[in-house]
Amino acid sequence: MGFLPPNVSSFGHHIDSLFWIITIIVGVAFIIAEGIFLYFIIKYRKKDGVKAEYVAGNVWSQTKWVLIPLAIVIALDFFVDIKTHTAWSEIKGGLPQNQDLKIRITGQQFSWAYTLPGADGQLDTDDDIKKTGELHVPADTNIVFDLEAKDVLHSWFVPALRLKQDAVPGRTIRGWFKVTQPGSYEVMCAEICGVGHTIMKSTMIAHSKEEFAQWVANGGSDTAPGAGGADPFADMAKNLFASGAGDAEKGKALVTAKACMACHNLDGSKTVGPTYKGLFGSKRTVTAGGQDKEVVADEAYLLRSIYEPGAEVVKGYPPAMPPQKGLVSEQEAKDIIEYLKTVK
Amino acid sequence: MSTNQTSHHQMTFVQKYIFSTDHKVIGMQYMITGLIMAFLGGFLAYGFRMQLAFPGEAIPLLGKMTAGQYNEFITMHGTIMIFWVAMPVLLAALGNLLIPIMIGADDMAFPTLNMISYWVFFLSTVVLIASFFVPGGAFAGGWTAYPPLSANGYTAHGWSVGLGGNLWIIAVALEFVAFLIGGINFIVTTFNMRAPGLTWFRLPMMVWMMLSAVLIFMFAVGPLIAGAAMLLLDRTVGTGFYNPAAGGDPILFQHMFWFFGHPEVYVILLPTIGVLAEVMTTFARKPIFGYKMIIYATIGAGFLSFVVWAHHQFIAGIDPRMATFFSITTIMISIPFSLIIFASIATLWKSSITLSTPMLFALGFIGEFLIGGVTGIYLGSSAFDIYVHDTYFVIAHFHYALIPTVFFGGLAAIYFWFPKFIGRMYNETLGKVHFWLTTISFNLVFFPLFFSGMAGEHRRIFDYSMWKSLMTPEIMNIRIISTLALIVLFLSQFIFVFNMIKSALSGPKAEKNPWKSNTLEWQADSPPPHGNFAQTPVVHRGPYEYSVPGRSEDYWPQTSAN
Repeated sequence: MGFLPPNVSSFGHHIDSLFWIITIIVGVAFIIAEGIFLYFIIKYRKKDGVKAEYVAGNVWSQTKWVLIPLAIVIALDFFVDIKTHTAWSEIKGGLPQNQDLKIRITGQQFSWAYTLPGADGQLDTDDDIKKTGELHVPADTNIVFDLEAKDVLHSWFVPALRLKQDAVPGRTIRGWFKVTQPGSYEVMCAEICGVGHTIMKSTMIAHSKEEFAQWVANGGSDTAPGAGGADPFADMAKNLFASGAGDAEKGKALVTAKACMACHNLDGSKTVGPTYKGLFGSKRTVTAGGQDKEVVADEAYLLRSIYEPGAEVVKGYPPAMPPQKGLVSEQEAKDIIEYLKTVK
Repeated sequence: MSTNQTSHHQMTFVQKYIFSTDHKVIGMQYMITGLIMAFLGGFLAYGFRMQLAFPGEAIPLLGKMTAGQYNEFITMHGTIMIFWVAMPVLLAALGNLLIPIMIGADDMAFPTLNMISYWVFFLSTVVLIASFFVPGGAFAGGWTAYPPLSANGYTAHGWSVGLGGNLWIIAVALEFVAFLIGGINFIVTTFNMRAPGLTWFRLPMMVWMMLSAVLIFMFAVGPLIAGAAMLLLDRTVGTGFYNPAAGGDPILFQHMFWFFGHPEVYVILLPTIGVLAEVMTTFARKPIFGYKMIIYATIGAGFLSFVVWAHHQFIAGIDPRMATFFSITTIMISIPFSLIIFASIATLWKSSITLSTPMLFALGFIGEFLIGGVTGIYLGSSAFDIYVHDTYFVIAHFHYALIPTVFFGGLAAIYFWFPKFIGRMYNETLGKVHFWLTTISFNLVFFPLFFSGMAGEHRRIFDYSMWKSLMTPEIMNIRIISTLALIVLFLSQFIFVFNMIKSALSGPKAEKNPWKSNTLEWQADSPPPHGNFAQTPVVHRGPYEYSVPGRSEDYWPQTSAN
């Protein structure tokens, strides 16, 4: 069955085997029922001079043809119930004995924010690693999460884990999972949460245990601190705009098509994200790595805001925007920036 | 029982066809309003399916769609199809047309209340349609209206005033007032106005099912009305019933919604089971298999339907220990409905089948509803539901449950009783073309969606372009096939409209009992006059005495003395 994506969680096999158990049971029942049904329709078509037989179905010798199959249905129902209970108990019924890593997942319009403990292994301390849009986890580790929501209902859904859980404002819902294979997996929001529901995407990156330990030691970065060179977005801006200006008309269409306007606007009012009005060339205070600084909104700044929105977050706004890497091409980004220059 | 045959000659056009108290005219008003709304609901589906199949392209008749409009369209599609199509067509229209005449009464017990019922419903329709045109647009928080999103005054275009959402709640509330008034009428009429000799176990299945459906509706609707009232207060005067910051709880609404919402499925399904019994016995020339057994199963299902609601909330954050209980009750629902379907199939055994259009739609209901039924087992399993909840698997499942019920059941009824209430015959060839086009395209729209759901395609997404795992060629093809088939499905319905209008104007005149059927309505004229019967009929036997041994005719009307 090519349609179920590969399973990478320790409990996903329960879900997949339930799929097969139910498919075999209802598949056989369905084929028998439809088969008899179609056979009767073909066989008992009206023929001249042949009257239907008067069968009212009110004595056991007749009703047994309905009630015996029904008893089989009931028995199979309970078989499915028992298998369901076993799977549910492991996945949602409780937490595993060994809880190796505790994390917090927060749903907000329209992104998933993740808090991981830093080197001290404790949440809510100074060295917590906070990421929007990307969840880094170690493989082969029991991970316990606290799921919260800031504004409306969201639903944390990772198809490859076979796991889904609604996030509810005012509640902390605890759950767990264990990834069995390192890799990169899509995380969705499965509960309608507003106009930007479509773009509420993040990625779960499962590292090997060693790689993850290194990642934590680096303070949540793939490379050691200070290893980076010049600003990559300054280079990107230089290369992109070397060939001339972008197409502002296309950019205007793109900000609508890509649902940017769900959070940003053109009239200067305060909504989820900062307004586009007068954005280009303005001075703004941003929070980067926990510290405030002042920057000018030039092409490099806008490219960074599109591709790594969590790197520099405008003060007074939540780090809510999902990174657009792979969603907005560089040419499209160029056109969007060209358009933003015209929004005065 | 008095009839007012004498007075109807002096009535004006307005009294006769607009503010009429005749149950048949009111039934037709409900039917026509419901069918017009079905076209609106279908058109909305065309809009959002086109966006999914061809993301970002301009849609013929609609232009480019925004994410906000998309949410508006899906929300209103669900709302309209459940509350403004399924309920008025199956419950209100069929109940009004059929209950009095099938029990041998001249009208409903309270004809004026009945008229008020329709006009309150009409008002609710106007309010709902008006909500498309207010600033901010129609309600866009999903037809289930989960708070806090719905409590924040969210509409398609931002967090503005949210008038569309308020109108949505008011429209739904008005509609429930209409159906409550109608429901009281159904119950009082069935209990008090049955013709002499028409005992409970001589009642046609249609009347039993209508009565059960209305009772379930009336028991279930209270919590939803309370829930909606609290939602409206949260939105307008700033109470905090669903606001955690003010001590409220968003999940409370889900319980109130689904405590109504699940029984509602059976409110819609039971009338179709009734249609099935009438149509199948007539065109198979056989008694229904296990009449009493089906009635007891229905009553059992009615009770059971009140303890399954939390299967909509397995992953909503309810106490995980509740899941197994609701999983067991949910899967148990398969018992009464398996019995009903098995009994229907058994009815065909050694029968004499004529595949007329109503019979095709009735049999189509059985064949298709089975798919909706068996896929319910996947979702009833709380553990498997973790994976498929809020995916296209759910969408495919409930459309396989609801489209056979509402459209196959509804169309079987319309074709079957058309000669009675219009007085002319419909065109059988066009009817069959309509059936086959509808059936084939319906399956092409929804069967592929089970597979996209299994692949993890989540619901209510405006554009999947950013989801790599959901943009494979296979899944994209599913979107396109499903959308093109939907266009065929939608256009096929115009064959039906043409057939109905043309036949109503110029079809051959129908006799009293064209199908040689047993129940009382076939003893009245076609179409029946105001007051239905010239004399109150007297009932001598049950409704399904077909092919009784020793009789030359293969039917035996309930009114024949011998």
